[in-house]
Amino acid sequence: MSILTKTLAVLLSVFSLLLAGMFVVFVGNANNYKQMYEDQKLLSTTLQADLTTKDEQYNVQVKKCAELEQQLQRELQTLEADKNQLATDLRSAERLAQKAQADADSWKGVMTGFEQSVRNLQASLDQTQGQLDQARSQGVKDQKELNQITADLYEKVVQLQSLEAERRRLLEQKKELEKQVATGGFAAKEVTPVTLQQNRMASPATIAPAGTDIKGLVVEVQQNLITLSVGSADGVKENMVFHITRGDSFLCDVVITNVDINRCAGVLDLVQQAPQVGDTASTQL
Amino acid sequence: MAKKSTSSSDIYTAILALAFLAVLAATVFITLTSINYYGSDAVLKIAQASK
Repeated sequence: MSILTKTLAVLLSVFSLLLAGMFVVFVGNANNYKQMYEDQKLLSTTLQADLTTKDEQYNVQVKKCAELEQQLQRELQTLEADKNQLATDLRSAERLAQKAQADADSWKGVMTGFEQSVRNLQASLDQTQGQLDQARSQGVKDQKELNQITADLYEKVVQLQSLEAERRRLLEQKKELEKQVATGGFAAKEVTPVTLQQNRMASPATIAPAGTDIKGLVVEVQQNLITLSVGSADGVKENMVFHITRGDSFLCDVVITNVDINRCAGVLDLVQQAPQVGDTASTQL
Repeated sequence: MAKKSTSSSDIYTAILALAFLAVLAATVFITLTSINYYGSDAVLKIAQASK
């Protein structure tokens, strides 16, 4: 074997070893592209599925957004209409407020006039009240005078009745004398009057002495008779006159005809209003 | 001299045999790795395509 052959054999062996080592190193370090491709393909599929899902979700969200936009648009239109309505109402309210303010000013003037009128009426009322008080006191005074005149009238009536009784008695005496003269002239004897005595026929109403005011209440009313809650224990006597009043109103007079210890009864006189149980009776007004 | 020549030839034969074994081992390693990576079908297709 020549030296050249030996050299080539050694070089061939060395290069073979180097080349084999390089291939082994390269292949050992090479990537598994199929595996990577499959991984990437799987990843792509997954991502595609995700993309599809996301697209569906996106479409759903877009649809929801569109619906929401339409809804918001409708609400916006409604709110806009409400706003316009409220603006119209506000203008109307402002006009009404201005009108009410004008009315209030007008009524204020009217009320001022009314207040002045009321003050005038109040003054007139006070004046009228004074006149009324004066008229009442005058009325009471007139009533007292009337009672006095009535008592005088009773007295005159009683005197008239007594004079009438006297006249009848004198007529009877005259008839008796004429009878005696006609029968032969008997001595005149004492003539007994057939009529009642003057004091028995009628007696004037007794006016209670001044300063002794007897007050009582009406406890029973029967047509023309009336019963009072005072009697002889309170100083009531027959023919005494009680004045029946209700508040400030004069109702009638009562001439006492029957007196008990704590009750008395009498007949009505000068009736202006019918008395009732509970009315006040007094000897002085 | 002839004995010396014979032993020298054996050495070179051993070197060539070693190189052949190394190349064979590398080929087997690369083939197995390729089969592992891409499958036997792909390796056969590559082999058939090279013909």
